Order: sequence, then structure tokens, then C-alpha cells
Amino acid sequence: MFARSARIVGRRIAGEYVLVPLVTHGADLDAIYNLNAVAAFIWERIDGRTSGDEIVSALTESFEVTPGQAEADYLEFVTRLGELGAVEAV
Amino acid sequence: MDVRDALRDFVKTGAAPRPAGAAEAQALLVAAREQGVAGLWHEAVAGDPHADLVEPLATIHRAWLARGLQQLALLERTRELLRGAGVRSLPLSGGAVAERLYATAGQRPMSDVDLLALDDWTAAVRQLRSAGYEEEERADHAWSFRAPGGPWRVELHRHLTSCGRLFPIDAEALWARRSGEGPSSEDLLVHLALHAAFQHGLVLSLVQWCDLRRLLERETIDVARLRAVARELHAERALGAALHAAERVVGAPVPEPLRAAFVQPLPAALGELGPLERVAPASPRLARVRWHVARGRRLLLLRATLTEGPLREDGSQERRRALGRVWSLARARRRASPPAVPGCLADEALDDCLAGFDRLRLTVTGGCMSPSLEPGDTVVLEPVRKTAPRFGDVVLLRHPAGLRLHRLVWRPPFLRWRTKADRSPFCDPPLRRQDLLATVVGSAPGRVRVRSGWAALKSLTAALAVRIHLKDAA
Repeated sequence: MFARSARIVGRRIAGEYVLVPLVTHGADLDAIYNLNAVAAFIWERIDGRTSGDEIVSALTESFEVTPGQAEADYLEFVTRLGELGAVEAV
Repeated sequence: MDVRDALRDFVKTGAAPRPAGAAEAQALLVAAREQGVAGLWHEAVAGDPHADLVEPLATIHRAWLARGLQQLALLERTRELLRGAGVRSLPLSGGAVAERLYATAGQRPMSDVDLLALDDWTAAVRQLRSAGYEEEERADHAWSFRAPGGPWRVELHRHLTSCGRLFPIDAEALWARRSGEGPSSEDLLVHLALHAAFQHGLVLSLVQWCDLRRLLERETIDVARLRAVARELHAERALGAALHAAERVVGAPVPEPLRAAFVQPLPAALGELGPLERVAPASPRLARVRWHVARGRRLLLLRATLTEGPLREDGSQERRRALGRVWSLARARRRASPPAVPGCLADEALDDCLAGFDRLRLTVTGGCMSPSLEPGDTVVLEPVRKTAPRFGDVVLLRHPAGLRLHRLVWRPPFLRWRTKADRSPFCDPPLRRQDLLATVVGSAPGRVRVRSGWAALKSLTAALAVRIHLKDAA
């Protein structure tokens, strides 16, 4: 299970979802991450209470994707977020 | 195309500007940045394949979002720090509205974050210092700090605006009324209005005007509570002036009860300018706006303006010996715009000073009264109501060319009021009684006696001799 780090926040602007780190020096555009719809869906559910299985299950219900593909997408995204310090295991 | 007007029209009506060419597009982008509306513009045109400038607007919007979120995070960190020192605080200005009235912080850029400290000022300052905040500037109502680990500034307010005693905060009431993590809608409206009117002379960027509009559109204002808050802060006029301007500039929907209560009683002077004269970088008529906003409390305004300096460590204010600033202001005004303007602000200010103080201290700036008074000398003045001028006194008078310190050389009942500069060969034009403002009762360094009938006789004789000489020459 993962929780979002307090050092990064997500916001929806003009139809796109972005992650913004709060610890950079200045408004560093290179540090802003655009998320696609699936990534934004996962990000909004990483809250320290919802398990990976539950998120994968929600993904399969909301998108036309197989459970295997949803799990792969979830793991790949969470790994990337972990590398960025955007999530912490709880 | 006037780019500011095009952007104002966008904020007012929602119609995105349509640049005619590359140069106009560039000018609009620059103006949209300056006016803080690039994020709003991007939000309005994103997804429209025929819209102009979507990509550059998106870039600005993303950068503002990043900056805004970092600033809001700093605001929260700072509030947490202050809480640790037992100091309650509330956000002001951009920090109070960015994510409350706008979809994201990217639509409401801020130069810094403002926090109002409601409790012990000394403890608040000490706490920020100990956390690595570096003090950068002290004003009479706030201190500016650079936060550690980033480029952002926090402005810690002790008062809502300059001359803070004019708008006294009831910290307990303000805190009790708060809504979530910010001030109540009514408090927020009054704070925004005071900031617009008193701090910026009713000249703001478009996005700042938009704050007032959005607050009226998105939150329910309780008129009775608003009246009470405005009365508590002595901000009725500031509120009326800001509502009126926001309506004219960005089409803020001012409800009828608010118009009747606050806008209709306004004097014409607070509503006379056109919309673009209210949009930065127009020059604010700050002194005039403050003067009108502070009606009924102008003496306090004068005292605060002239004698109060930056906030000290203990939350009190440095005292300035600066009554001479009125004199400088009046002289500068006269020099800048001859002939004299009846009832100009400097005159009004001086009149109020003379009405409110029994003794003023001014600095001499010219040499026309040398050697009695030299430039840099200080004179002590008493209003004529307190010390009636006698023959030979140096008086402060309204001269056709401005305020002057000249010697009284003729006076009623047998002659009219006439004055003369000691070094001038001519007398001033005849004066009315009301043009005599104050009598000089002392001077420093006091090299000669200022109140001198002998000096007047000598000066007058010189003038008569010149007059006779001129007649002979003719």
C-alpha cells in the first residue's frame, strides 16, 4: 500500500492533470509531470488506505483494460512515483 | 488594440482576445502576464483548436501553478510554525483566494504570500527567525521574510494595511468568524477592499480586481454581517470604493443591498476615474484616495502618515519627526502645478494638521528669509487660532505661488494684511485673513530673533525705497 508524499501535489488544469513538486527552487517547469487519464486515476486513489488490488480492480471497471494490463500499468506507475519520491510505502 | 482593455474585456465578458498579428499576440501575452490573467485565459481557450496562443499560455499557466502551489505550501508551513509559537494567523490577499476562488493556484499568481499574525508579534518574528526565515524589509504594517530553501517570500502582517491603527483588527472576532482556514467571506471582502483602496489607491492588476468579482460570484455575502465587519474596521468607504471600481473594471456583480449601503454614499471623488485608470500600471492617486477613505479619521491618518515608521521587534512603531513632510508635500505640489489649486490635498492636509496640533515643526527650504531663517533651519509654528500674528512676525501663508514663510509687514485695522520675504524688494500681494495659517514662535538654531518688529520695519523701508526708485525711474 502506498501514500502520496507531502512533497508533491496533483492538480487538474485546463483538462490535464499535473504533478508539482513542492521542494524545487522556483517554478521549475522541468519538474512538472503531466499525467494521462490512467495515471491521474491511480494517483487520486493512492491515499495510504486503498490497496493496490483495489486500485487495479477500479481501473478495470473504469477503463477498457484487462486485469493483467491494469496491474502492469499500476506497478509501472507506482515504481516511477517511488523513484521521484512522490509516494511512500505504508 | 489596447491590450489592457482587451484583457479587461476578457475578464469582464469571458470573450478571449483575438490578436490581429504576431506583434499584437506578443503584446497580449506580455500584458496577460503582467495582469496575472494568463492562467484564466488558458483555461478559457484550452481545447479550442481555433484559439490563439494556447501553447504559450499553457506554459505560463503551468509555471504559475508550480509557483502558486509552492507558495501555498510555504504559507501552510509558516502557519504551522506560528501555531507552534502560539500565534494564530490568517492568509491575506492572493494566499487567501488562490484555491478558494479559482480552480487552481495557476489562475491566481502571487508575488509573495501574506499572513496576518493575530497574536504576539514578537513571538511570531522570533519563531520565523529561528526557523531560518531571513528578514528582508520592514514596513509600518508588515515585515517581509525570505523563506529558507526557496526563492519565495512571506509577508507577515501585524496590520491589514499601512497606517494600521486606522483599521483596527479585533483578533478574537476575526478568528471566531473564520471560514475553514481563511477569513469569513465578509472579512475577506473587506480585507480585499482595504487592500485595493487604501494600500493601492484603487489601482490593481486585473486578476486582483477579479478577486472581488469572484468573491461576489462564488460566496454568499451576509449584508448585515458585512456591515458589522466594515463598521468594526472603519472600512465602509474603502469597501464602497472598491466595489464600485470592481464593478466598473471587471463587471463585479455588486448586489443591490451592498450598492445601497456602501457605493451610493461615496463622494464623487472616489468614483470619477475610468476603468483603465484603475488598472496597473496606471498611477494611483494614493494620497487622495486615502484622504477620502479616511473621512472622520483624517487626523489619525495624518498622525500615522507623518509620525509612524516601520514596525519594531515588539510590534510598536518607530516614531518619526516628520511633520515637515507636510510642508515639503505642499511646496512640491505648488511647484509642480502652478497656479495654486484651491482646496488641493496638501492644503487640506496642512489645514487638518493646523487644526489638530497646537505646535508644528517645519524645515526651511528656501533662502528668501535669510539671515533670519536659512535653508535647513527648523521653525516652530503655532496656528493663528492659538498665536495671532503681530507686526514683524514670520508667518506661514498661502501665497499665490504656494505656501511661504514670510514676514508680516502691514496688518489691519488700518492696513490690509501684507507680507514680504526679507530678501525680496517687493511686498507680497494683499492677503485675506484666512490665508494666514500659522505664526513662527521659535526657530533652531535661532541665530536671530524671528519675531521682530525692527526686522519688519527694515524690510518694509527697503521695499518702499525700491518702489520710490522705480517711480523715479519711470
